[in-house]
Amino acid sequence: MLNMEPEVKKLTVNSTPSLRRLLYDIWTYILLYLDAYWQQLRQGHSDLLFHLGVESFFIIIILYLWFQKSYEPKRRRERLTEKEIDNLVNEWKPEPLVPKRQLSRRVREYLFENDTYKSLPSEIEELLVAEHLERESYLPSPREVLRLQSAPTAYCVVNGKKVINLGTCNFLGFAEDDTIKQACAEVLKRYGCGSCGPRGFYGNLDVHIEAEHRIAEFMKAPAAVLYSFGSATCSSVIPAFSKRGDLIICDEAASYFIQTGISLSRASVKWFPHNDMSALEKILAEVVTNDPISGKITQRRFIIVEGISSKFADMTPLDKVVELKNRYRFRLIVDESYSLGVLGKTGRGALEYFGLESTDADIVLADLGNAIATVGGFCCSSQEVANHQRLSSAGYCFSASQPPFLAKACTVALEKLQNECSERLSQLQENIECFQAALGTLDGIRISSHPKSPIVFLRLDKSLGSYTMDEQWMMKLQEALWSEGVFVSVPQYLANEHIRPSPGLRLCISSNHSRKVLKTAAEKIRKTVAKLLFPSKHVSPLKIP
Amino acid sequence: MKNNSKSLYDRIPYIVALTTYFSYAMVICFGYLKDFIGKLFRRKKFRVPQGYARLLSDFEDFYTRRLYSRIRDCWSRPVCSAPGAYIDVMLRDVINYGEDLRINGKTKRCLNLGSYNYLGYADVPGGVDDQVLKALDFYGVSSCGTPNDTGYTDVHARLESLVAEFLNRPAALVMGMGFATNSQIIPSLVGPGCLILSDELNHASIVVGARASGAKIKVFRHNNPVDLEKQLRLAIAEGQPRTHRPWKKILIIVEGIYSMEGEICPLTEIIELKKKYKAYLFLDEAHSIGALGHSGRGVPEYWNIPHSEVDILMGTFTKSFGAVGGYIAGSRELIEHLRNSAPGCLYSSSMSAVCAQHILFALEQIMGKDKTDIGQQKIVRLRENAIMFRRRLIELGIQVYGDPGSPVIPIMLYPPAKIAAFSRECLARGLAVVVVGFPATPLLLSRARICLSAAHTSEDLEFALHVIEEVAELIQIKYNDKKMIEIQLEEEEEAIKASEERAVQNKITHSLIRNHETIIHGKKLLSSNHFGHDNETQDFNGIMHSGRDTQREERKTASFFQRKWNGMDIQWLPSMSSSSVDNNSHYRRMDSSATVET
Ligand SMILES: Cc1ncc(COP(=O)(O)O)c(C=O)c1O
Repeated sequence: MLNMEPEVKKLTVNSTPSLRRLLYDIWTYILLYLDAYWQQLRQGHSDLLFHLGVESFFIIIILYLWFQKSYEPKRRRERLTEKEIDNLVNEWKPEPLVPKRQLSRRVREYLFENDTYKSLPSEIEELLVAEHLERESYLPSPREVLRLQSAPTAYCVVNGKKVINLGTCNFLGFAEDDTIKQACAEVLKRYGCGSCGPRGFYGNLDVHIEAEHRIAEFMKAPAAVLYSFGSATCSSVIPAFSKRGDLIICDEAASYFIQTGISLSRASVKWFPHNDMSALEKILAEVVTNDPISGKITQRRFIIVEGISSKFADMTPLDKVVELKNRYRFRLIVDESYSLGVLGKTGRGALEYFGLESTDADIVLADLGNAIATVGGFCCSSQEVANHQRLSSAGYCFSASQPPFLAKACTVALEKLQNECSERLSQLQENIECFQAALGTLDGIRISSHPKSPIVFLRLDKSLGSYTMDEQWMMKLQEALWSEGVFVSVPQYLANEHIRPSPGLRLCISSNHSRKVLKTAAEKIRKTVAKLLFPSKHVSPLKIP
Repeated sequence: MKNNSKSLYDRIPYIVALTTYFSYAMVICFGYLKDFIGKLFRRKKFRVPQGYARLLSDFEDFYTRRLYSRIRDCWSRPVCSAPGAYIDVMLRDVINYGEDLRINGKTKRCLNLGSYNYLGYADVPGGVDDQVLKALDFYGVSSCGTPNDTGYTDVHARLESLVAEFLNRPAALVMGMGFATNSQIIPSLVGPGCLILSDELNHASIVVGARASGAKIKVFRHNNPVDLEKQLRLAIAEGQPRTHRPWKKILIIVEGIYSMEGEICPLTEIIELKKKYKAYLFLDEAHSIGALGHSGRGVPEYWNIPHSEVDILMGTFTKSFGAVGGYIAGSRELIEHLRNSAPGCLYSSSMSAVCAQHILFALEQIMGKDKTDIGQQKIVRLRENAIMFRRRLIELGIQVYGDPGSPVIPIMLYPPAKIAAFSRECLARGLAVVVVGFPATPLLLSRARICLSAAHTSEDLEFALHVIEEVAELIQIKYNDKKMIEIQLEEEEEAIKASEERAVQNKITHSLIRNHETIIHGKKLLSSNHFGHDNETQDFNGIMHSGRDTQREERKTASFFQRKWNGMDIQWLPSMSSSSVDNNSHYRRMDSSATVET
């Protein structure tokens, strides 16, 4: 006993007294326990032997399990001394905040100086190979921003020159509409510019409520939620309804913000090839095979598609998607950003075009920045879904509401669309037809577009050798077209897109264009493309080693 | 290094904490009881369509039905006026215990302590400046394009150069939404293999951006440089998880003023750390730009730190400027990089030119470019209001949080019942305030938030104080005793004194720099007979203030790719551009062929 005392004391002042103390206690108890057995055994209780056997068996198993775990080669974290950390800090060399962008610059310089691509200097070729190998570190090339110096009308002024506008998504000409402008001016005078608060905190103006009612009425949906920015809409709505463990089936070519929404939601995702319905069906069937027979499911499942694809301008066969979704009991999210105000008899979008109602999809989203020509987005859905968004959709709750005049622009634009839909829509459809006919087919160029889509993509049939080259070539084409008097857009795509379309030229047709203008533009595009692609008539330059 | 670890929890009295927990427990118990009964008798309401999973998770749904809907009339109050010093709140009838709210047609004029209208630019005389209406007429409502492609107008260019000038940085870019500025820019700054060290109370937009980036996110204790340093050391020592390779980059993200706490970030210490550990710093000045610093240039000015010390300066136009959108300011390379690789610049719509024009108007006033001191007066007024109001609240014995000088002042309420009581009683007395509770704040720390504005006069604030005192008495939120009040007032004094001293210093250095700059600027202008950055192209009659007719000739031949080699044309000087064009004869050829067809 005597020599035990200091031992105990030492333990208690140790740095981790509790654990040691505990072990010590346990050990003492075990000793006491064994001691008691030993005493009884000595006194000749034979049935105790059986007890002892069983208990020791259990103890051995427990110990075996215990040690089996703890004997794994457990690496104890070696604590570094402060000095060592200081050294590490000194040694550590972070990457620069802004990555270098040598390649695209060089290619650009080269491309813009030379008209043919028959031979590339070896150093550029080396860089291209390096780019190919280091896909991830590749970054889009620097580009210059074209300066719009007027409203995005049929003719607009770009960098000091009046040009035909095929660059902006002002499909119905609402951006420069006088009634809309007037309504906006009134709201500006009355409410000022911004709303200075989120919808939850006094940023909820009557114009917002009006706009939401109007949208819901127009879309024939039970409720609509207005967002202040188109691109924040889908990346906020998707994570509001799906969490880890849920399942999303999405078109491969969905827009970047849908992809962001999916990755933010942490749900598991399956991609199906662009517009491939049989692949979609296969995936859906596979998912439901493992379902319990009772039909009780806890996993929320969504299909996400776009009405008109933002990357390829073709149309998703929504009738088929809706049928599949109902058959396999998925919920459907449709992004109508490019089809709203364009497709369908009253301009409600792709769902209407296929003879469906907005309620056939569970959630319908759209960017108001295209045909409606304001800045913002909306989400149509049932009342329950709308209410939930108002509490848990990040882009709605944590951001100031849309400026009131932009909400008003949306209201008036939708009103106008309802009243004059037949004229504007048929004008737009005629224009699309006329333009696509005038454009025809082009040698060396792949035109991707649905016959009813207001956007048309021109892409190179055959790559010039690398993504960078193609992109730079497209920009060169854009520049050439500008000097010819046509303003077009060359969307850039990020390297980390799920599917990265090859660089292309995007042409947007508006109902405000006259036929003559469209024909001239098509002619100019044909000429310029041919001139750039085939500088000397008969030699095809599309041979890059 | 100062350990700023005074926690929000320190001040809450035990008994209050206890009752708060108790009241939540009560509400939740009764909620579940009601749900149980509801499921027995009103099955229809709870039914899920056969074969589908429930759309809303159980707790979220429960929380909305049983807690939020009870007091939902405190939020989303419809308003039918500009969010100026006074607003017209539209009153609503509560139907079936908060199942629905119906606007009943009555309105009440209230003093507005809820909007982020710090400098009062939400309602300038006449709604907006004339230039803004002209911009609407000229540019249309929206440009229907993306900022880096077809939606970039002259107004955007001028706004960007003015923002850059305001913040003393070489370049800036603007986007159409503040939230999206964070959530769509951060992913192109960092990616997998990088580390984000984020303050635990950072805004949702930062959290979304950080998560979308794919970088590893670690959170450090709120406003606590000691913890930040610990985390930095640990991170660098351990490297990436699993692989233990060194991090590619480390990005520290902090806010200038924390919007729910009213606290100002300790930038001096954070900059020290950032330098020592070679990390990059992202500063979100959503609430502090325009509101802090003697000339409204935000937290760096408040702490007397040059803006160039912060790698990425972010802010929004929603608050002090009374518009919408956000900006990023930084080095030329940074902005060029972001412009070409941030999803927000590549795919999102650009800001409406009308908003951009309004921001220009506000910014020009703040910078004194309109040759008046209206902007300066507003800044001074806001600061005085903020300091006075805080002091008076403390004197009342109300628990407030945050730092003096911040225009955001949270009033601590604690129990959930007081959230509704405070909001409703204030509204009844003609005061519109914002209240927040769980989940926007931790469960215990429900609060009301006062946002002061330069538009408030001292009579307005007297009235507000009077009402708040009355309500505080009524619902018993004077949690501070005499001793606490004295201590807090002393702290307050000290902090104000220190910040004033800094301001004086800052003014001295600033005026020196100014003089220096004007000299240089003058030289530059002399050396080139072209126009400087603030006389950019003006294509419509008189909107652009700084237009000079003599420059029309140059503008006609304005290069298509003006922005080419000198990157962003902020402070664009042809002397620079001509040298770069020289390298490349192609452009020259193009330039001369470009003429205006009118
Ligand atoms: C720190 C911070 N960042 C970003 C934002 C978002 O800004 P906006 O309202 O302009 O979308 C806010 C808004 O509340 C904020 O507080």
